[in-house]
Amino acid sequence: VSFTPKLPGWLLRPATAAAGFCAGLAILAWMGRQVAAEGWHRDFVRFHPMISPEAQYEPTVAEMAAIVRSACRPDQVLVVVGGNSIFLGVGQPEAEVWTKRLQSDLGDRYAVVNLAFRGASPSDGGAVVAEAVRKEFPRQIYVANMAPLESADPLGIDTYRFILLDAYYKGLLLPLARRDREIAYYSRTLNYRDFPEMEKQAGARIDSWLYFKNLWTWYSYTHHFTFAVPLLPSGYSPYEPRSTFTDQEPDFRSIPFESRFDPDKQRVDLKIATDYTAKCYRRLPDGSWGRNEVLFGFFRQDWKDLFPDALKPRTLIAVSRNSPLYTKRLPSEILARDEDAISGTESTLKALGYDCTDYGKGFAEDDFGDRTHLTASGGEKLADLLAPEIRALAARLGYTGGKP
Amino acid sequence: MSGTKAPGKSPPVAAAAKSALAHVLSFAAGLAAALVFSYVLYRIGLPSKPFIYAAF
Repeated sequence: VSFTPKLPGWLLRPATAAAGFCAGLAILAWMGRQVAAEGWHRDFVRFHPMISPEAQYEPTVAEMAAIVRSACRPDQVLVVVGGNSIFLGVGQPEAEVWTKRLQSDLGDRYAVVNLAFRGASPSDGGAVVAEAVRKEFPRQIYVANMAPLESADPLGIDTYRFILLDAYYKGLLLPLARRDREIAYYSRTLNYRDFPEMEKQAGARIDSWLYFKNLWTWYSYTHHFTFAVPLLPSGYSPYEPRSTFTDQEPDFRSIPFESRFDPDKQRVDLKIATDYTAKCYRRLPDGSWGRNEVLFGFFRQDWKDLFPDALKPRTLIAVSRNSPLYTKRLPSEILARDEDAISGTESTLKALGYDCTDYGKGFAEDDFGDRTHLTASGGEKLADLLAPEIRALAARLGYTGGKP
Repeated sequence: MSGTKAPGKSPPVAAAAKSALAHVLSFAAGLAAALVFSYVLYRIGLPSKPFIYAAF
């Protein structure tokens, strides 16, 4: 015997239901705007894995702008830190993350906000947010890291493109020819391989009308995460609000040297260190390395197109070096090639209008937790090295009345 | 014949109450559908698998 419940016909008024649907969307969109305006992070330090795409939490631009707003007073110079896991402070416990040291070095005239993400490029995350809040915080400096001669795309990497599209479709970004052209291409592509990108854009466009991402991300952080994710710290339910998860970044110093640098890992990392800058060079008959000018040209063009011209002077790029545990084993011609790549990166970026420096020279083996990430002591050295660069840049930009 | 009901018809007041109830319930159903729609938009926009990153 089957029973199918049937709604009496008189109960459904389609026009009224449609009005309720439209009113509901309007109310939810209003709520999405309201929660984002107020923000929902308290005492934010950085995006640990449970509030990042590693645990399917995708922070919105409005959410990150609210973090900036709560961290930076109007009389302070805003310092947004972007870049990848090195600048996020992987391997440094929350209490000793290098950006806290940078804040302490720079003092109260500056407000440092760490918006770096694991695996991100210099044009992801923090770069987008800094650009989006440029009118509200005109005295701003954006700092990110990169490997020597590393190219980047104005659309960033796929994992963090949701941040760029969020800002783009809400009209928060400056015109940038290559970025605008690529977004326009994906929005009307007929190539099925690009359909996932087109779907992302459609979602961001609808969100610019309905603000559902702000609303549900806020709900996920403050009330209840609505679905299970595979990677969780032990002792937690996947449905707990993300605000209950703490930053459990391990401390490199608590991991034995033999585990961090086991022979297999050392072999792989030594190979990476050996080839660190090889892609833009060619071997000369005498065994030395000469620049591949074509690839240098591509690198230059990529960085020319990467940021709007108006934002290049306030952008400080720090070029990363490898741990001396590996570089001490490299032959002199490779060390010379790496130095040439670092100086070539700096001179190219400076000629394009960016500010650029490098770090890692003179760092000890203990300052690195692996080939490239820094321990707490390495983070302190990085902060101590960048703080004077940031002060000098702020002075040049007229943020501090010309005084460093 | 005042005070008598036509066979098979509700009195006007009951009909009005029924209509109001139908409007309220239909509006509420529309609101609920909007809530579900908003969530679905959010949920389908998230990647189906988390980003895997291994630093060490």
